[in-house]
Amino acid sequence: MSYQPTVPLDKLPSMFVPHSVDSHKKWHTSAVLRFASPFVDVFKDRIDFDPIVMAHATTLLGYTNRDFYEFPEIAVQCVAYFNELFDLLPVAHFFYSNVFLEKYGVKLQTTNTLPWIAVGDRPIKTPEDADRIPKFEKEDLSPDKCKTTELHWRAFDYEQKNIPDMMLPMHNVFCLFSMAAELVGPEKFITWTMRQPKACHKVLDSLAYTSANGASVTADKYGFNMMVIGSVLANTTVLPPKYVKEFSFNHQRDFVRKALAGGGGPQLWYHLCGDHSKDYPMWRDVLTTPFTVIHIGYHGDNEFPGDLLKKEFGNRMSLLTTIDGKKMIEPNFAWAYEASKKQLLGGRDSPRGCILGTTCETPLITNPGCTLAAVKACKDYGTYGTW
Amino acid sequence: MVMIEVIVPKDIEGALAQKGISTDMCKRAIFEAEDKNRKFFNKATGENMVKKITDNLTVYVIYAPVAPEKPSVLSVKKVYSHKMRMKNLVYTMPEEVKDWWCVKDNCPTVRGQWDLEYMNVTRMAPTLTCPQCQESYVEEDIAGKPVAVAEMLFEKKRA
Repeated sequence: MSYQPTVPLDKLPSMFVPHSVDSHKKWHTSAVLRFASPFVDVFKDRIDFDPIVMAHATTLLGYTNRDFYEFPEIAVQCVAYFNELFDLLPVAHFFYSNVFLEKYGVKLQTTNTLPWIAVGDRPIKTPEDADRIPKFEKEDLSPDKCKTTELHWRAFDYEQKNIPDMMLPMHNVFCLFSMAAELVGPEKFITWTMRQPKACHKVLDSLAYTSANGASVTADKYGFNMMVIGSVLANTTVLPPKYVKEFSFNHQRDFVRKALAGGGGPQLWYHLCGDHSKDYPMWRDVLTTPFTVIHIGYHGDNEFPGDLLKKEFGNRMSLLTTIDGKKMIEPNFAWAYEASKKQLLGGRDSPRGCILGTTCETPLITNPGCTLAAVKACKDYGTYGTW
Repeated sequence: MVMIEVIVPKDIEGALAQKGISTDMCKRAIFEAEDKNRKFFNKATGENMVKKITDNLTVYVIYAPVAPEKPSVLSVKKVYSHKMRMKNLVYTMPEEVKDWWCVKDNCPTVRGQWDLEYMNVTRMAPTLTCPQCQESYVEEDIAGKPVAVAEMLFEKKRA
């Protein structure tokens, strides 16, 4: 029997306080001004905290992990409520990793604690399989033919109908390298970067092409989208910088240019998860639009320093400086406050704006006390006009 | 001296009027560019691209000869513009070679990243840039979406 949502979807809007109430409107007006600050240089209130909340929003509010991933209506409704609860962003997002893989024959499933993960046989077993990999056109990616599009559009349609003030159409590229690795098998794909580079590029080319068309399909319907482009598995721990450039950076660049030409964007969010201590300089040269955010998780084992992020990227794009997402589950609120303070002091006066975030998605069992501590640090050390 | 004739089709003329761009300005942009050989040329499509900077607008005109046997009769294909002022070239990516060639230097353009400024806000956008003379043009899709959205947002938030 398939998984049933905790609350029937037709009852969902009635379970939440409507956005027409005065308290919501007042909060939202203020949150919008704060959210826009780094992008328009009109600095209102304080620096935002974006914990990249996903299924933690549903579980904290009494729903489940599977509710988030299998019922995107619940996901965006809960993220919207979570954001207001902690005075975070004025938008509600829905996205997940491993997008479009089902089009290539990968079986994906969620569990009680995991997002959509690839299970079973991988479709590309030999380099010859890579020669035959398809590239999907826009018409192949309509919601009736593509589960990824269907899930995302359900989220955006729900937002449009029920919480339009917090609507945010998104296109999550995720990490082209990670997705190629899922098509081949991660260990084998990493080995192929040395032994079968042409096969790797064919797989990456296909994913970039398909994803750019996916961005275009969503932009056609909703007018725009925020594109999240990641380098997750392609990081310093796994690959030397030369390989990160060849197998991640270059394909991302091709994706971004094609997606922009197809109507995607204009906001670009480069999400560099994991350790980028050796490859971070190359990311200074990513393709940027006027609305570009750079987000780097780790420098070695530690959070990527806010002051280094400002020095390297501050004159080129807006920053998302981070605290360690792994530690957000601990009942150590003083740590969350002090870590946030340190990163804010390092990055807060960056020329093109700064946001505080976590190194990656906040875990399912994030301690809400840590979220509150980070917001408190933003209020104490991120208020514009106090430094 | 070759006399040039520039044709602005009626549909483009109508669109220009909506944007507050005169057909004369388009023609002047082409005459000046042809005179100084200051233009980009796309070998694949046979189109030329020029730009004209006014007090508050940068206008781009894409045009081509009406027929191979009439190289001096030029027809305007597209006109677009942006309000953000091109402030300075931040860097170029020599490995990202583009289809458009700089006629003056006879070399392909590459991706540049320029700081653009509008209403005292400076942000970067990608350009077609000649690696030698650094002449740079913003492509139509970039001017039409990311740059246009930035202009609109800056006007709204800074009003």
